Amino acid sequence: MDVARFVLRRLLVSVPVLIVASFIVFVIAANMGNPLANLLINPKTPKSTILAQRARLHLNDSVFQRYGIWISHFVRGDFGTTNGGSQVRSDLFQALGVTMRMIALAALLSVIIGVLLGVVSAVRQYSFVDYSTTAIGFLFYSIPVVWLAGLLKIAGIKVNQLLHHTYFFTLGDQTPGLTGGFFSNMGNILGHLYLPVITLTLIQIASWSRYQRASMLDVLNSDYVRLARAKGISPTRVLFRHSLRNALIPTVTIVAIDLAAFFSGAVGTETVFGWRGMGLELVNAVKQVDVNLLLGWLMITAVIVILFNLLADIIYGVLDPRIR
Amino acid sequence: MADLEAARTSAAAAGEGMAMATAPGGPEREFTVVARTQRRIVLTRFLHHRLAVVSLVVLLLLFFMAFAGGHIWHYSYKQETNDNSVRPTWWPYFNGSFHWGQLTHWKHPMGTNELGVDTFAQVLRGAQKSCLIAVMTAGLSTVIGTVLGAVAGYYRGWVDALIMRITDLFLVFPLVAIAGAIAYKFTVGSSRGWIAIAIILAVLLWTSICRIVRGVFLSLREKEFVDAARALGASDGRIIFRHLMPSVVGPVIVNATLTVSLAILTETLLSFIGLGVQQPDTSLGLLISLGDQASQTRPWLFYFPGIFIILICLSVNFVGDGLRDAFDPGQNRVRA
Amino acid sequence: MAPEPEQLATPEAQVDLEAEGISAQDGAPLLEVTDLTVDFPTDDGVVHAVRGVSFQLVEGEVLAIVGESGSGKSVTSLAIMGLLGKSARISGSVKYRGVELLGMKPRHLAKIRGRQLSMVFQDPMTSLNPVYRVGWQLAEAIRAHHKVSKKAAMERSVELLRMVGIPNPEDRVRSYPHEFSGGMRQRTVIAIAVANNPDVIIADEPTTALDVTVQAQVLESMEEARRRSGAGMVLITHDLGVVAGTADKVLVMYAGRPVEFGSVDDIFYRPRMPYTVGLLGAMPRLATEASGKLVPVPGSPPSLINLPPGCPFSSRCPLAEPACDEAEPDLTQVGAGHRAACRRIDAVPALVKERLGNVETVA
Repeated sequence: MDVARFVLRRLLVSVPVLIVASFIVFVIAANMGNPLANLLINPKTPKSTILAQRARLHLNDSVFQRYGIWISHFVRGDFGTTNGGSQVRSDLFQALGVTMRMIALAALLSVIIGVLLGVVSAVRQYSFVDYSTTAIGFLFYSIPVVWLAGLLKIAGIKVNQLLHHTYFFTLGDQTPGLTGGFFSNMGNILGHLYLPVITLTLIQIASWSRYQRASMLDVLNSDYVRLARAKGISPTRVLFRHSLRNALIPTVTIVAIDLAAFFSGAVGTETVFGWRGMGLELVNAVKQVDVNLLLGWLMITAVIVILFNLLADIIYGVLDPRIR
Repeated sequence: MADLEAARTSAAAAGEGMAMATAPGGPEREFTVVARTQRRIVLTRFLHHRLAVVSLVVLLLLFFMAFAGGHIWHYSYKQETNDNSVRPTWWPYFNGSFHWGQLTHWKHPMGTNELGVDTFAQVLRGAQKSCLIAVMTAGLSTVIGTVLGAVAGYYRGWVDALIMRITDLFLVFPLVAIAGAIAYKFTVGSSRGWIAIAIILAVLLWTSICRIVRGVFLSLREKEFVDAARALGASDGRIIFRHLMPSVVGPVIVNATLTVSLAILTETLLSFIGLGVQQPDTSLGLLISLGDQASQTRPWLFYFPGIFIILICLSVNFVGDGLRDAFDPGQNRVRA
Repeated sequence: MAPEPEQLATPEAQVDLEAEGISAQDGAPLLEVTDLTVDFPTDDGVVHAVRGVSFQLVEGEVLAIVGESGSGKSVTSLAIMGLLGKSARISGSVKYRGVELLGMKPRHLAKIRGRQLSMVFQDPMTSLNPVYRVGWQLAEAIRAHHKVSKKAAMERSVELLRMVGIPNPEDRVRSYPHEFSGGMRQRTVIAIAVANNPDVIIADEPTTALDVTVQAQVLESMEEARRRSGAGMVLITHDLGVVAGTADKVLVMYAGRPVEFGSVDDIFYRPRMPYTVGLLGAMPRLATEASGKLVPVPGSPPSLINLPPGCPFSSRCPLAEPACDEAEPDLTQVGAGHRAACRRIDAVPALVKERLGNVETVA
């Protein structure tokens, strides 16, 4: 089973990447600022408190020692506590759940619509669909995600006012203190998801549809598609079995690579719509010089991105035998 | 020497003669060629793209406004006037009822905020900061990316592998998080903080141009002219700069242009969430953030900074696209 | 021995086409191309790639189309098969057994392609779909035109691979294209082309992209396949050595037009167009003396967008006179079945003697 061996190989490559990534992350976080800043500002803080805090945070050790201490806790699941005293792990996992809702739905929609638009644009090159998709793509490629989010927020509020009913929620990821059955809760969550997901999807479609169009055009002009036509296969079969099949392969890679970008966009969108997700955690971590929180944040996102890339590599290996 | 001369003649003869071995993968069309420099060809092709040319004009206009506009406009971005929370003065509904004549009033073309500060002046000032950052980022990242890509593509081996692994690393983290985490330390309470943002963004954005340059170098390296140059005694540096770099100029310029757009958008995002340019300094991202908070009552504070960004990025993207077509038209080739 | 093609179903493709009112004419030549013209509008202007090509092909005959890059030979073959892109402007007539192919509906054309008319492409490295197994691609070609089970099609694929000289075909049929060498891939493409026993095989520079050592083997496979099926072949090449070994008739093209046409002997021993002489002179031959130089044709072909009004070869022609630049010469008869497009036909034999000496057999 060479597929299994391929998967194993990719997994083994990911581990050192993760380790190096974790070290870099630690160096960054450790130099974010002075965690004792709050104490030092107040001239009345006794020296003993400062020294005690120094020792507690291991600030007297070298970077490598501190890294070692942190990583040994981290791999055992102990992400430490935030500046405010809560558990980093539970805080982040909860925030992650909230954010992943948005990202997962937006990614799914973007792939489906982006691929569709790209393929149609390539097959019907220079048609109205092609030109308008390109034009709209250019537009959304140039819009800041936060501005689009704000715009949709304004529009959503206007629609709600016009229809005298809150179809589009614009504040938070769900209404607090929800009671009621599973389905009404789902409806509420969905209502909060509409605008953020539309924002992220619109921006992502711009780049993915263009990419898919280019990939599809490459395939349509390739020698092997020409040979398939020369074989006398029906045009439909050529399109699906040969053209589409090959054109979708690079898309797998691009979706995986763009996942980190999705996180960035999600962070911005959350801020606009007031979600309590990873975006809020990040901003708090940086502003409050919360080293543990930042470390946890960066490592969790790194693991997710690497896992996702691994999945994409596997799918790629299944689709394209040359890689194996 | 005589051998070289003879070899060259027969090579030329074979090239022009009938006993031709066309390269596999498609023979080139052959024309009677009028010698033109690459620069002329690219320029001519670019000027044929009306959209790109118009966008270039618009872009230059916007840049002019960003960098010189602040001095020309009679309001300063810090100046508080008595016109608090005023709508854009040309808006026909300015006084509540529709009035065509309102279109001629340009006192506050983008309105004012709650302190009476003219929004247009703020947008100009913010645009200056954003454009400064973007241009610096694009320039720096292009330099870093081109050098590393050239080294990776030319020397290959472990150097290449190392550089490629490093670029892989950069893809793992969300840009915003790393940039925000590092930049915040430098931007808080400092008016020079924007330089830090530019440098950090550059360090994070060089990977795409690096891959492109590496790709070109890898493919060109195998061609005979590199071996020929080395046989004639050219040093590595000379080969890289005189022989290989010219082929990279096109994609590098295109990518640099697109990096400007990407840098503006990223800086906007950073500043919006509070991890970028800090007050009292201003940038378009900050302005959008403030505008978003006031968007229910004073929407003009929100719209205009965003529209400005969109205009800049759109024109940059069109120019970049036009440049890409000018350097490599692609679809005109026909197999004979 | 390979299983005979009659073991497969009757040619249903022909039955289908007849139901739609398209029937072949008895006695019509296999392939009849009349005044084929192909233009490509581009940003730089209209490219006149093919300007009035005419020829006929009968059963069992091999026609070689010879020319350099830019002569229009590949575009001609793609136009015949209907494989040019949407931007191509094609006029003229291409008839297969009396049935007009230009303008035929894609559905009908698909029935003829791969069945009666098949093609071998130039670059074997990119001709096969990399994600499907070789046997699958062969079977697909068979099942596109015959209602047979997957198993039967796969068995036939194995036989086809054996026929083109691929060792161990039972195992190889499950390989992916990237596991094959260039020569083996091209042989697979040839197998696909002859899978359904076509009447016409068009081979577009089939050996150009291969090593010289492999070229001979692949050519042999192709000849063998052709002889077994009795098909006619249009062989496009710039390599006169290949022409000498396999062709019956030769069509020489230059700047999109035919400039000489005749039997292979006519062309090699009695060329009447200076370009043909140039082609022959530039070809290395065993009989050439050790100190003899290869004489290439100086200059390069004209732009296909801005063609000069006169003969397109005049700027490179040793026999050119002012009248040559006024108008393009038509093909004129110089012998039985031998035509050349040149004003100075009568001066050419002297040129031949000067350039080629006593014309020897091409080894």
